[in-house]
Amino acid sequence: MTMSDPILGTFHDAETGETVTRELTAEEIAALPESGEPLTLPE
Amino acid sequence: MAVKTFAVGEVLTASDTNTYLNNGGLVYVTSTTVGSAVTTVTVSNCFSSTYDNYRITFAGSQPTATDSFRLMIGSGATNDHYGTMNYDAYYGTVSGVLRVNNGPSIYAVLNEAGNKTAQFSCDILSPNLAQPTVIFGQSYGRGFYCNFGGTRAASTAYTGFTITIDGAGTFTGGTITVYGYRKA
Repeated sequence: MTMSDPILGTFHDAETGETVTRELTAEEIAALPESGEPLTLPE
Repeated sequence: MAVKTFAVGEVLTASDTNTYLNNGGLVYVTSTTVGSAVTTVTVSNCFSSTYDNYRITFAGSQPTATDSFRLMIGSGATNDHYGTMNYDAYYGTVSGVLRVNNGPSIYAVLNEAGNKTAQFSCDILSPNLAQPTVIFGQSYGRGFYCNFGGTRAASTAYTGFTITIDGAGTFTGGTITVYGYRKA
């Protein structure tokens, strides 16, 4: 994924059963956790 | 009565059928398939007053980068997740502990690029009650068996959760299923 690629998310509503995959809004992106350091453990 | 043994030839009444079909300990709430090339998957309105405690399974998703899947209750921008993941390689040479102290999410499973083996099952206790939500589960991914657990410390009633991929990359496919623990 490059910086220009949209950030997509799948959203499922258990009440309606509806599932959509769409681009995240700015508010939704702001609510995401910051990425941690890649968890690359020794093999 | 949670269990009833029916005799051969016994007539099943509507009352018994309705009662005992719904008498399982785990009751299906919802399930969804993850889309393509996503960074997050959010399941909303799955926690309610119907159940206090829930089981979540996550299986069959394929990430593009080797890192991990994380689980968050409510907004991940708020740092009050606390958790620990103990990991141990099946080949016996690598093990350790990953801790989240006042972080935005809890690590659930180590994943591997192009591989669908990163899967987990966990219990979530009290998510829809006005008290801290507690999470504990087990996972396997990238050759590591993990125990993980933690809390979203806020005394807030939540109605859903989000699984995110950590670091770079996206993930595609797989199924998330939510069950509720029947109260009585």
